[in-house]
Amino acid sequence: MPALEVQNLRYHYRTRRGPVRAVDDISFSVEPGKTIAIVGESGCGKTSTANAILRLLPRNVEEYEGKVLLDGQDVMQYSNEEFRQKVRWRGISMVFQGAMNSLSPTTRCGLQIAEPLIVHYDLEREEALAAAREGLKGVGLSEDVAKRFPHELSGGMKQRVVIAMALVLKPKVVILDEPTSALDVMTQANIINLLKNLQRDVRLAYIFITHDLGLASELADDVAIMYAGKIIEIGTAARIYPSPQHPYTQKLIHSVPLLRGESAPDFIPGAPPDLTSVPLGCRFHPRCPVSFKICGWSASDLESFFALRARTEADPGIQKVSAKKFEPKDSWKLVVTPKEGVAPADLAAEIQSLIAFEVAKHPVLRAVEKVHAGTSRVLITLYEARAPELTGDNGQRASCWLLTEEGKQYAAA
Amino acid sequence: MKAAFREALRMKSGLVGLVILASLIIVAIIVPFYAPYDVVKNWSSYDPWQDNPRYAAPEWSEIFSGKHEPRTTFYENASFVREYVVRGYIPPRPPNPALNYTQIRISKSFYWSADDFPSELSIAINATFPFQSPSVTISFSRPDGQNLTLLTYAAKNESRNQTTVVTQKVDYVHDIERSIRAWVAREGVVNSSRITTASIFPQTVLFAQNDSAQLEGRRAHLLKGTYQLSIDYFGFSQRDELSARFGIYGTVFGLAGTDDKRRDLLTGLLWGAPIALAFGVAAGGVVVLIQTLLGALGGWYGGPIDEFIQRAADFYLVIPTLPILILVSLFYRPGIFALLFYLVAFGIVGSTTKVVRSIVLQIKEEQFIEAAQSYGASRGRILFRYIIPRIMPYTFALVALSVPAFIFVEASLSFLGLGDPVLPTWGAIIGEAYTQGALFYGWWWWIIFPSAGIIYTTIGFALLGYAFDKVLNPRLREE
Amino acid sequence: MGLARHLAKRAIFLALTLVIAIYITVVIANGGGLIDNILKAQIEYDLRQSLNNNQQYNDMNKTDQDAYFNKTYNALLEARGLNQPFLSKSFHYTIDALTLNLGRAQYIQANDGSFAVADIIGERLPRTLTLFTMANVIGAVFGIWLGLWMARKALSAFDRGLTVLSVTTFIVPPWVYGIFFILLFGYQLHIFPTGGWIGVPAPPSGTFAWYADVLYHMLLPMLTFAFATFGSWSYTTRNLVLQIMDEDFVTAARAKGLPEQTVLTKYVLRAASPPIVTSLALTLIAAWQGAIITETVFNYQGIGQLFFNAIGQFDAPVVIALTAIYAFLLVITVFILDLVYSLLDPRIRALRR
Repeated sequence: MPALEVQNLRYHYRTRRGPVRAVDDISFSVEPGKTIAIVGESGCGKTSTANAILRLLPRNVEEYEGKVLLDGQDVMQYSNEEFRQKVRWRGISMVFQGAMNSLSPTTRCGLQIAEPLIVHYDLEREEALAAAREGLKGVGLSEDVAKRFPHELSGGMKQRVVIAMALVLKPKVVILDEPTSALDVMTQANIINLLKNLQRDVRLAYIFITHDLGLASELADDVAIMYAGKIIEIGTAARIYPSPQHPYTQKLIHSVPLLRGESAPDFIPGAPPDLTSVPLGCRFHPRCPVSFKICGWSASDLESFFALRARTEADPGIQKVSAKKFEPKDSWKLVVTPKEGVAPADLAAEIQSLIAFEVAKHPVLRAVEKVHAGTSRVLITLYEARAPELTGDNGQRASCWLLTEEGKQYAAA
Repeated sequence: MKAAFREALRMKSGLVGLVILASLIIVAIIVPFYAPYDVVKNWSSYDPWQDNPRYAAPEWSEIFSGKHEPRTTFYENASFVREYVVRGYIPPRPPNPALNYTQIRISKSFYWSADDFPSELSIAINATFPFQSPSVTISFSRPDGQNLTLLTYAAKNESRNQTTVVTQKVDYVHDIERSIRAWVAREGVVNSSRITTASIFPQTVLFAQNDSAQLEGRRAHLLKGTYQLSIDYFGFSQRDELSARFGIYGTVFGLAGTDDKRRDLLTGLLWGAPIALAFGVAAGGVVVLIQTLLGALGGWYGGPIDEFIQRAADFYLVIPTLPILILVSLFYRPGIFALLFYLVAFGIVGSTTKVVRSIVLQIKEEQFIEAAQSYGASRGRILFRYIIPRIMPYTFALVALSVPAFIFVEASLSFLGLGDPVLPTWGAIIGEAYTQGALFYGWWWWIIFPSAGIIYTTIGFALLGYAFDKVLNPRLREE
Repeated sequence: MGLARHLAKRAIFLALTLVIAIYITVVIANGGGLIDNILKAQIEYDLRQSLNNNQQYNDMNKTDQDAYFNKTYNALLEARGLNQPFLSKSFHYTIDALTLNLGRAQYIQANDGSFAVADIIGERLPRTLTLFTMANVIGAVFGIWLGLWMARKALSAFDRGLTVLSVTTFIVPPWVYGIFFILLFGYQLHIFPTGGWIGVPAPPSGTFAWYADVLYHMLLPMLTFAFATFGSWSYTTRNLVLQIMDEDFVTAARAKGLPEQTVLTKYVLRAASPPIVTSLALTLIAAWQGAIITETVFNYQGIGQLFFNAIGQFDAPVVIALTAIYAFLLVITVFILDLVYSLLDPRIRALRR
């Protein structure tokens, strides 16, 4: 039985620019004593996943649903108070990104480590402090660190304190969010060793969040690659590292510079999408080197195409083009306003022939499903852009059109 | 910088703040046309205000009392009816010598329809005569048919040109009071002991009905109707001339009432706006600018300069600024410009310095600074071309937030009577109101309007500064 | 040990500031030789008094008397240092002020008739201190509580409305509100007394009725003060708390499964205290100075009103002495707050500010 199983987790929050779809329907699981690494660029939703699992939600949360099974129990059903008492730190604990800042500056380290014991197990202060000191020894620090304040410790020492704090209640699962990104390479190696040993001794399940593929390979049994709030490839490290299926994963792996190697490291042009307006279809398609037109399109591309046409044609019938989102979600239509004196039906026919003529040169036009003339305007309906499902076997699945039957047929065409 | 400004204006608070400030600026610009500067210079003199009533409430306040309050009216000589002018000569008949005489009677009738008593009366009689003192008799007749002689006197030689009988001043007041007491006694309605002990206010008694409450000041019952003031003049030459001016002071005046010196408070209030604005902005601007510069210098150059500026800031924090300012104002009586100077001197370093310093420290770490340094830009150049412009939006917010503080320092000092002795600042008006007992006597207009002025201005700046604050501290922004 | 060193450094700095502040006061006051004249007049007066009872003196004839008087007078001036150049005179006066040797008032008297400035001030200082400390504490407590509430309901209509209210009220100094409130609650509605620190006639001193009466008179000033100051507390607390709530260690505390209440008090408040203490320092300093007019408006016989009267009567020794006392007050306040701050924030003991 997996220590933790996440099913269809969804977590969106509201901002002034719109809803941020930070975690969009992801699923994974991790066995006791094993590690799953969640890898992705900055802004892909990794930390949001961690927060979502621990129900650390801000004020402006918009959607939060899914299943989180801890030892088989769905903890999403718990009330806030139940969750706080049973799950937080006892079931799942976390080592935060920037661990330096997750220690309170005005309390001594020993007390901070001891605190969960006092709160959850009702231990006396002295007992708890004693346990804390044991914990410090467990992470390789001397006992008198307990008396110090965080600002008196070095980065590596603070990290160990945070790890000790995360383990003090002997949880089943530990989420490690970039635990070493602020440390130098030597300390990094030490910490990773420590983590490995602890995992072995206590049979902890780790969720190891990082952007560093190489680092992840040290610990990970399974790997999940996240991009724009979705998991686009998931499987065992043994399968993914040597043969990544998804173009993004391939790029990531090839971007790790090798100490001895002939080839230059790869890089991926562009930047991850703004999570308030993710691309339609496969979210990676704008940056994908092998994407083709079924992967996705943006309504604005089509809008610009027609708008350009309107401006440059000798006798354009198009007065104005605008893209509008209609219900249901992700269904876009272009609303074309004809010029004075031009009948919508004529304009529609004109657009139809235009599309037929230009589709070879402008594959983006494949996105057009139908052209419909209304009483005063012409509506161009676009195909709903669909994101591909995760395809593959249990050891490795990736979400890429190229791997699906449909996609393979299309590519051949 | 402009972006921050536009962003701040998009918020409701910023918008309201700007509207308030704009209104004040408009007032400040219009005021010199409505009440030019010499009117303001008159603020510290008495004469220009003589025709206004004292402690008069604003005219519109009669809405609340429900009564129709009397306004001030002055009847000039031309409006007096010359009932007769007789000039004659009586030939000598022993033992009487020859007599040239002029006998004049002028009168003024008026209708009293207001619901309240006048606040004061003023009769000014101008007699021109060559040698001998003429005799002047002032009499008063009422709608209920009662007549009384207020006063008979001989115009004195030294005051040949002007004899003014204002009921609460000077020599003839007792005589008038005596006449009034005798008259009231004759009517026999008021208790005789009351007649001897009550203080007589002609402006109420003369207009009060003849009942037992007649001597109860403003609580007496008002008699409405046609009244007449007559002046009989007997002079001893044929060339005598007489003119008079009769003033009845009302109880309300203008939009903002009057104070103890009869000044139209509206003038003072309106002029308070540009003064407050100018002073506040000047002081705030200069002080914040200096502090910003010093903070930036300290943060940027670091080292001993920084230490020194930090210590100076701590030092200034602990000095009791207001008491020392009071000391200075008391002993040296500075005008408003000197005051500005002292405020600046005491504000060279302060909290703004610290804030700016920490901002500069943060900016210092940023990459483009390093880049600039690496291509060989001098430290000074970097400071002025890159860092200072980055700080400008913060500086603006700090100016907006500190202007009210300076307005208040000036108001406080003026309240204590230590501000500019000539200018009508809001603080000075409130201070005078307080020392004259406006609170006790309930002359609310004298206090509320200048206070409201100060609060209004303050709110304007505070909202603007607050809106800026929100823009510059994104955490405070609404998501 | 670091704490003691840090405090010692602050103490020295503040003491130095005090000396300089008083020196500036003296220089300003004596710029026109005012202090000199006051002292001379004082010496002359004292001399005449003592000579009145001197039999030997009274027996002398007029010229001899004059000669003797002048000689003694000049000797006294010399001894007192009044014939010395400006700088060293200022120095001596500064020492006088520092040792609280404040001289005699010209017009104002203490309740028991004494003219000694120290007595006059000593009589009124406790009243000011009680009123203002209590008023500030109430304003602060209320404001902070309100600020926490606003932070919890952040961005709601409640929060936004109160934020604007806070920002616009605290900029206006208390005396402006005071005048309004006296007009409204004192004269129009007759709820509170219109001034003074005790009723007339006063109940017997030391009894419960006496304390009750004093308290009753303090209510309106305190209300005014609370209204005028809560805004800065609630605004800064709200912003601070919101900022801190976003900090990692607060999220970490929540992740540890601590109840929300504990997170608020142990983590958020504790991290917010140092800036709040600094804010308190600034507020108190402004309050002491604003007290001058505020006390006057309420006719409250504390040192603020004393200042006002001294100005009105141009009683220079009192004005000068009061300025010095204010300097003392400020320095002591800042020092105590520094102490509290260092206890709250352990980082300060290690780092330079």
